Amino acid sequence: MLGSERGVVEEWLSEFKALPETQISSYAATLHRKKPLVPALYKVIQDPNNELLEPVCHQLFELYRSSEVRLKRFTLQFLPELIWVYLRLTASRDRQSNGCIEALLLGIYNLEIADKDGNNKVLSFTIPSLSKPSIYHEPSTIGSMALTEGALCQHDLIRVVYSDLHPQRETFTAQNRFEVLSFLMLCYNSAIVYMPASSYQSLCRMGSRLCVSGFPRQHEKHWKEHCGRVVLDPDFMVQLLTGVYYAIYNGQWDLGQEVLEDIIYRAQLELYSQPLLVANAMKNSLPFDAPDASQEGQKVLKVEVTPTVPRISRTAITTASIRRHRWRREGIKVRKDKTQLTVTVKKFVKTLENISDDEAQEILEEKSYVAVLGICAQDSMGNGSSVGGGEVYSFQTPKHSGKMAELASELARTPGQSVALDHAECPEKTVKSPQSSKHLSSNKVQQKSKKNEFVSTTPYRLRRRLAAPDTHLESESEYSASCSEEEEEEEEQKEANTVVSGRKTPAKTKAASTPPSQKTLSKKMKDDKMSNLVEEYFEAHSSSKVLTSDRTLQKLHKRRLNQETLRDLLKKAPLAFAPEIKELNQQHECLFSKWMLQLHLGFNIVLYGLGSKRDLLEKFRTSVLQDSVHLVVNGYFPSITVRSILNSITEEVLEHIGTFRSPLDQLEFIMKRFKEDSSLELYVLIHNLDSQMLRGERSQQILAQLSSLPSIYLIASVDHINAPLMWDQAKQSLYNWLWYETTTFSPYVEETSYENSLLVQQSGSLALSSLTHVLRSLTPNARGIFRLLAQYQLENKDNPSYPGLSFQDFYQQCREAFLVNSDLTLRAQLTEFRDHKLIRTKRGADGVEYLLIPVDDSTLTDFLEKEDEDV
Amino acid sequence: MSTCSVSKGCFVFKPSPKKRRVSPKTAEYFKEANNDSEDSGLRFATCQSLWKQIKSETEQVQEELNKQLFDNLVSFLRRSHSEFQEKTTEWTCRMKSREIPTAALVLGVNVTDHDLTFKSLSEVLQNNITPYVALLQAKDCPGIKNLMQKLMGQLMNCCIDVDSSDEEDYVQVSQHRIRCSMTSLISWYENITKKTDSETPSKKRISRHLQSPPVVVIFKDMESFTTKVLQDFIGISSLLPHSVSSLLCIELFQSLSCKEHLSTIIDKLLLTTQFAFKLSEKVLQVLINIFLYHDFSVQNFIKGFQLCIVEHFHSQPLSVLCCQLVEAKKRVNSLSHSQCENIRRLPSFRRYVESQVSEKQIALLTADNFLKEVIQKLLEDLHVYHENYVPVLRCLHVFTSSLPKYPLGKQIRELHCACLENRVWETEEYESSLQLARMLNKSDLVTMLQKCVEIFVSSSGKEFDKVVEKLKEFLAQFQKLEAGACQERGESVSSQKELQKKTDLYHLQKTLLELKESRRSKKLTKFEMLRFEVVDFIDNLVRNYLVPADHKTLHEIMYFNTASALREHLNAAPRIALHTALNNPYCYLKNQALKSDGGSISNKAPDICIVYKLHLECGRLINLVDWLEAFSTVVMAVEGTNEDAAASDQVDDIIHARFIQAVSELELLGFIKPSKQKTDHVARLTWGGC
Repeated sequence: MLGSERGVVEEWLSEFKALPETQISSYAATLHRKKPLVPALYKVIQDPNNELLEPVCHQLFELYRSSEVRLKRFTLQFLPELIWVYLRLTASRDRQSNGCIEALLLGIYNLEIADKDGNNKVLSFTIPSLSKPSIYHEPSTIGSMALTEGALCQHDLIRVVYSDLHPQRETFTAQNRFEVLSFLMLCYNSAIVYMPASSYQSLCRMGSRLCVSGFPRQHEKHWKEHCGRVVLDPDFMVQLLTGVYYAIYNGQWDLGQEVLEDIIYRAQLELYSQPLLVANAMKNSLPFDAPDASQEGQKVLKVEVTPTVPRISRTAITTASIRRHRWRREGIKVRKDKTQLTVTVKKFVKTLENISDDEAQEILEEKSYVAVLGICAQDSMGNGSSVGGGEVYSFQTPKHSGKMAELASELARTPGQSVALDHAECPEKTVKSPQSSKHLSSNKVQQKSKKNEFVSTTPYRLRRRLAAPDTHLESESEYSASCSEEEEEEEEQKEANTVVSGRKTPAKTKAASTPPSQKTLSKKMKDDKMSNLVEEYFEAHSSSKVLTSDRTLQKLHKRRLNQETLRDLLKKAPLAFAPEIKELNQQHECLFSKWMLQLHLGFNIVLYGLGSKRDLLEKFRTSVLQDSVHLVVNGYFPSITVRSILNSITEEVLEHIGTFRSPLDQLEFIMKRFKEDSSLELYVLIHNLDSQMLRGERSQQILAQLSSLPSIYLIASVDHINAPLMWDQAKQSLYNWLWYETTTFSPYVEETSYENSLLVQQSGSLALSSLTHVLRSLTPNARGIFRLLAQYQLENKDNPSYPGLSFQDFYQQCREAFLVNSDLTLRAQLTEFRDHKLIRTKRGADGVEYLLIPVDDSTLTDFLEKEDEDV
Repeated sequence: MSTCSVSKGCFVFKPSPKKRRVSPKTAEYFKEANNDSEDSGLRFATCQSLWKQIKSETEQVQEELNKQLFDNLVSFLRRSHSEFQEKTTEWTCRMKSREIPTAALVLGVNVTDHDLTFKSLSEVLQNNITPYVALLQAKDCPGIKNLMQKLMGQLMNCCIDVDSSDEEDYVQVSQHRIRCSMTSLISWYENITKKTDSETPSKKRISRHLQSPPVVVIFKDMESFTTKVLQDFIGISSLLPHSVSSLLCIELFQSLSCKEHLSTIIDKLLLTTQFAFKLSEKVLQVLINIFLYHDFSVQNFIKGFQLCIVEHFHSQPLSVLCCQLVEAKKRVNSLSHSQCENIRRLPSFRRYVESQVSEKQIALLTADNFLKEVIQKLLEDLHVYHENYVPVLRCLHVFTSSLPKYPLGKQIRELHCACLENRVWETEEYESSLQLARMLNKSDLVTMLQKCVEIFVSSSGKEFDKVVEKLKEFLAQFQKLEAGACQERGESVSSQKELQKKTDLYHLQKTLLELKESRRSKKLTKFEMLRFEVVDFIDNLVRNYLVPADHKTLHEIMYFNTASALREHLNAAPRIALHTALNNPYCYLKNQALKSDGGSISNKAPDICIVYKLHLECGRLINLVDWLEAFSTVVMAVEGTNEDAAASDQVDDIIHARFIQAVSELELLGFIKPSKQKTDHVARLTWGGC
């Protein structure tokens, strides 16, 4: 950079600071007269290592923030260049050096999204009516047959479209980057008429470079600036096109056409339909040669308003007319929507009616269906399917928490002997169950004062008030609503309310309003039972408050067991009914050869029923599959993925070296190989096909396709009660299942062992090892940063409402410990942590960012100790 | 190598190459699965050949059904393309050529069968219209890029297929290297068409296609494509120079409904003597119900049928005789003694034996050779029964299917089921349909009779000559009636005329009453007499020939009867199995301690059952402490009787551990899940179940 240019810039930097408030407007008027300043600023911006860049950005932002509109525009003219430099640096992953540009862009964005009062701006666009003339069309030229003015008016084509609300942004992320940049381009475009020619050039340059960098077309260009590919967003490209369109007709004919070609090139590669449509429309409407350049400085966009009337050229381009450019874009959107409507269905065949007529005859002969199913259920006695649906799927009756203990004591009291507890069969009991808690209290009331007994005159409301505090007093296990967010003000009253709302059922309210004798009440309940089921359901789920006792495991003085001790303890406990279970298993083992037969005939086998089927399948594997290639998949393994299954097929079974771009590609490869080579055979055993990791739609689709290969034999087990819901018809037919009920009653030891169960202490050995692993690869400073956070978290471990460490505090601490020098470096570091899932951020109620380490305290302590040893 | 590991979830086992078995024969598994391996080889062979026949039959049916549809599509494509090619300057044509001609194919609800249809469709198109057919599926195309990649891959591949045989300088480019964009597609297309234009027309392959063949893109299951992807695709492809507008010009084509498909299949598979294997009523009902209430999939129906075949041959040792009559007779001769015993054990055969005289009974039960002779005869009887059954059934169907309200069902399969179930003439529905049949008018009756004649003539049964004669006689009589009808008509006309005369209300009523009176008292007309005769004749046929199959001796050989097995394997209810196991473990574990009466559970039951039972008593949230306490109360009560180690810490821990295990098992089964709503609580995920 030349010294003189530097001087110009430095002077510019200093003079504004000294400027008194009153002279700002006159300063703004003189600013554009400084000829060497603008090129010098471009140079500064283009060079990320220039030490002037930071003050320049700062100064530009100051100008933009000032109330003077001309100063604002002065900043805005550099926007294309800024965006280009920013995107280039982002693409080259040189994030450190573009901090100030990023800050400037974000600053402009955040200023623009809000109006003067600080409210979010909503931009509204009016979509022009076809029936009214506009600069784009003349109704008389379209209107021949159907498009009369009157007909068009009825279509109500005048519509106001509002833009989305733009949220405040504090950082750029991959998700929001182009949202922000598109918005900035929109701001630029709306002020484009005021921009000098140099800004148009910069815009065109930016467009070309962004679109072409990193693609073969770059080699045809005369500039040889090295840059990687820049990701682009279709919306951004459309905004870019709007600006380019203006530039083409305003002096940048050659550059503009070049950038247009480049954008088309890029859009074709990326298959972005919107920019493609816009750009092609622009290209096709271009005149053969450049518009008359003689009227330099007169910004002309010639429009033929109507061919019938004498030509009028509109020379006045206002911001309003520019905004109409954007309508084009909106108009395109609308037109696209319309294409769906205009899809002409020529013969909408009447056969639909015929079908429905036929089907009405056959569909829903439910009676016979149920009858047949019922018959079959009787046929298949012994596998326990003789249970009607009603028993299994009925709604839950509201229960109260004492019920469990009651049942337990009942079970305990009569050892060896069974106790009938079927509620459906003894209506007396069902009646009691929703009420009994109140009964309890009301009994107490009765004892105290006989007069207060259920008298028909007592209003329900009053009784409720009577009963509720009583319950509160009498019940030993302190009840409270489990509505954690709400504070416990008005304790008494609320509690009373929750007690009632938790227990009352519609039936009961009804009974209360017309309090009959106990007997008729029970009868009534029985009658109402069915109709009330639905209401009861909604009653039970209407409030978020649930009534359970407040006792916690901590009060039990029982240490949480960890995995190993649990295992040891369970080993000591004898397996109940071992001989019977063994017999059951032997029954299933008889089926092995039948399974093999059916597998070979093209079916796949799925096992269901209570009890772990792991051992059974293991036995199957060792006894039958020993001599053939087979793959065992532990679906319950917490980090199993379809990818890993496919990988083990391609890498180990097919011995293929190489990677695949997507699981679909990989699947295709596997299918091809298996189809080509008929000697290839593979047995796949999947324990728990319905596990958390495999139950997703895509994974199931891939597995189903895999299993549909004739030489892949799949045998799987499912346990979850809703497992069959995983498969739609298409997948089911791919799987070609044969179901086998194999109830084994074996404990699910292996399946539940992976540290995800409720009561087991999370020993966190996995989390710990991954923690140390990741941290070992980081710089000492980064480790220090993490340590700080961990220590702070441990200091606060007794505080149950500890929200985490706020970013600002954290930054302060890190600075004091000489770990970072700017908040940007800290942010970059945090991003890295977040990528490795070492920390979690969440926003507090006041909008402050809080940082947390999502690992439990003991693991964290272990980690710190270990760290200390290492150091 | 163990399959437990904390670091990986997939284990591949590869036996060393010399140990590896050379793909063991399926037949061996069939043998292994059967302990009595006597005829199993033969049985398996029979089973396989039967299945092969059935498969080819169904495929053929499918092909025929689709033919009409495909022809329409092909002609549509030809038409739309030729219009475009003529490049007429007429305005309407030009408008049209700007549109993308689109055929919408409505296939109905049975998604699973569509694969086959589409595959054959693209084959047909490739053979008749254009080599450039791309079949796109929604699941392959989550984004526009994938869509283009798939499209170009398919198009270019097929072009390579065409050219590789005769072109020398065509550079084979891998699909990945070509950049996916419309421009490259266009240039590819232009390149190709130029080439085919310049080629000599002598090449057969090209000449079959049109000049500059169109590119056909098939979207399978259009609804499941994301709208964005489709919009983009149409938007982009409308940039093709050929068709600038993004309008689609859709013509709709309708495929046959899946129900018709099923009827055809049933017709071809079940109502024929071609296959010896038969389904019993219950089995057929289960299959049809799965079809109607679950999936509308003919594929699945056939799959169920396959399972029936396998199960039948697998479980029934005598199924070795389930083949064509000639073959079966041969096989009878070579039956072993134990197989003869098997036959003697068949319930239907026992019934047959009991109905014989005592000497014959003894002979049947002792002499194998005599038995074999009888079996041959019985098999022949069975065959004849089948031969007669089908035409009579069809004939009956002709009658019942046109009755109002269809008392015996509209489809022949319903009638078939009814006839298989029990003696159809004893049912109420049959009675009412006969009544209705007695009220049919003449023209209907005549057409029905004609249809019946056709059915009987075309059938293979030998006993129907007389029946046909009789039916023809009826027809002749009806014709004779035409002549005699004039008088009657005259009479009725006169009364009609009387009615039409202008009278007052009183007179009208009177005449109407008179008319009614006369009608009641009137002797049956000749037509009515004849009609009764016809209906009686049909009734007779039914009684003679439509005897339910399970009344026939040896029906067990041909008929697959275990509907429960079928239902268990095809339409299982895992939830009910779980429910039963948890609620009533005695169903599975036959231990007296577990025996209990309805709905209750013993406290000695497995832990998970107790925990499950306890959790049923809770609402939406369950407090773990309460749960644990309740559990230990129950368990301690049991343990306490055995040992009096009063709640030592050791025992306590074990119970705790057992509880943890049971709770995590319930979580695995999906009954509960951890909840953040309250400390130490879990949420219940099911309702009811008590």
